[in-house]
Amino acid sequence: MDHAGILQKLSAYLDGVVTPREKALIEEHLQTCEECRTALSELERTVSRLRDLGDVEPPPWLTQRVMARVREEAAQEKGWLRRLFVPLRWKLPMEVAALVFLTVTSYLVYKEVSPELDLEVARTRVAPVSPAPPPASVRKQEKPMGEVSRPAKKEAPAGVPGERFHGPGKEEPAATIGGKAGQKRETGAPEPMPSAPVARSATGSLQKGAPVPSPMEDRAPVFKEEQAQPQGFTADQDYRVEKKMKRAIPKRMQEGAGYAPPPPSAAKDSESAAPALRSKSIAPAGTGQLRLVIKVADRASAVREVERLAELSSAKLVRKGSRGGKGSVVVRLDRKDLQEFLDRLDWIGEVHGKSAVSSLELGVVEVAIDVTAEP
Amino acid sequence: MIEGKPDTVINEDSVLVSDCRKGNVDAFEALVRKYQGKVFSLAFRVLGDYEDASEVAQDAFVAAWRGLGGFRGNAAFSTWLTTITVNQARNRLQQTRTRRHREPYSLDEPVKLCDGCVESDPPSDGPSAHEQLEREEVRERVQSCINGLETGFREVLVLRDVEGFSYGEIGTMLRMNDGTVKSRLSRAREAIRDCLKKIVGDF
Repeated sequence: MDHAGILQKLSAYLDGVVTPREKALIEEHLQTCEECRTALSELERTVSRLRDLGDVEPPPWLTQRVMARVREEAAQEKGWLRRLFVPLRWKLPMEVAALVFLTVTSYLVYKEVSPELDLEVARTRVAPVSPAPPPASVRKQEKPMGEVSRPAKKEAPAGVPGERFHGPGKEEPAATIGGKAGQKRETGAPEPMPSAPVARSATGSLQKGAPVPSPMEDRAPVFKEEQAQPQGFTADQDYRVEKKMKRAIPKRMQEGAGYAPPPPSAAKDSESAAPALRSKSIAPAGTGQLRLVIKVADRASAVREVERLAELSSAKLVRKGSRGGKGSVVVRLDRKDLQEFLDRLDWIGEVHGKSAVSSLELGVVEVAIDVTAEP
Repeated sequence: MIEGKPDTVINEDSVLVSDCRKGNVDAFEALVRKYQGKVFSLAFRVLGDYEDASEVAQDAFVAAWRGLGGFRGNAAFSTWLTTITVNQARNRLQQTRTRRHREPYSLDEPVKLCDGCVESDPPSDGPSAHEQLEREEVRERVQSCINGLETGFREVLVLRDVEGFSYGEIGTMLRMNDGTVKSRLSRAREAIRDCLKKIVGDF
């Protein structure tokens, strides 16, 4: 070890942390090197000054402040655990409130949606009654359908408060049916869809036998009305309706032109369902009633025209069918729109029964139109 | 903190520590009272500031309380507590350094450490008041020399020459190998020596 090296080792030597060999070398060197001796002595004094520093008195409040913080943390920890594991005091009421909220919300939502179910039912009920048209005529029918529904579609968004599923959701069933997807979209989109399966069935039924789908506005006001009354529908009934429809509709979808032949039971199903459902579409109390008869040349096209005009006059289709050689269309509309509607009916053919209009009061009017081709 | 702690001290601490871990806050208070002097002194020597040291000492104890769950007792509680204190002090130094410019020791006037704080004297044969004052002033100057050291050197120096920890303990606490401790200590002492030559007469 040279002089420089020893100088560096002096600190360690002072603390006695050098090897015995190093120690010997250093001590030997110290005997002859004054610089190193001086350095060592200065080192000793330095360390001595440092050791003399001693302890510093802490502030008298130190323990107190420390313990205040510690106790607070200890209490918080307990509280947190308590909150986690024994939360009943607070959690339970909160959970109850949450449950109540969810129940009420879901019930209200369901209630809001359920009236639309009968409308779907009403429409599907119509389908099996009219004969299944051949593919060509279906296409033809769907064209006016497309025309009719376009204006409807435009107005629809404004008119339907309860509608929730539109656009892509409706288009999907259309797509699965294929073929008439394009037109179907037009007609399907504006309609309210209470639930996906029901919607599919609705659009399916449309495709099959209902040449003119009821425009959305038809549905909405009716829906509103029904909502306003004390409902005859209970959640149970709605559920049953939906079930029946689910059962009936898929078959009917197949009845569309170009698809599997409809099982004969399909019609029966819907018909058996229909009577049960028919009772649901009861005219609200206080609705004026009007019965008209229109004499036309071609009953089928006239019925379609009636429906189309009804749509133009903001009338809602209640039901449609045929009885005893007469086509029957029942629509519901506001008294204020009635006159316009009646005027339009004149375009179709000879209208009888208009005289009863004067006796009608303001409000909703249900007009039953019998379309006959008899001379 | 003295080297080679008697076993009784260690046993005492173990009991208190295990009580603390059960959530006994009073047991922790006993530990605080026992070590507050050492913790505070260490903090003060490293930081060179009374207020900073007060805060760091509190923080160190609170950190110890929080960390008791993880303290396995493989080291003495006092060593563990010292490590926490050093770390807290270091953090504080790094914070304050960015805030205020570290002033080197003044050659003309010593840095006033605090108002009214008392440094306890090591045992002596009863110095006069004048001597007392002198000693205190010398201490203040020594402290100001320490304040001039860089953190890494400061810590080693204080732990070794002020607090009396062994090279091995220092290596553990500061996570340094033996060689690093030796070389840092050597350089730190030289720096203090040079500083003292300048500001403490009759060195």
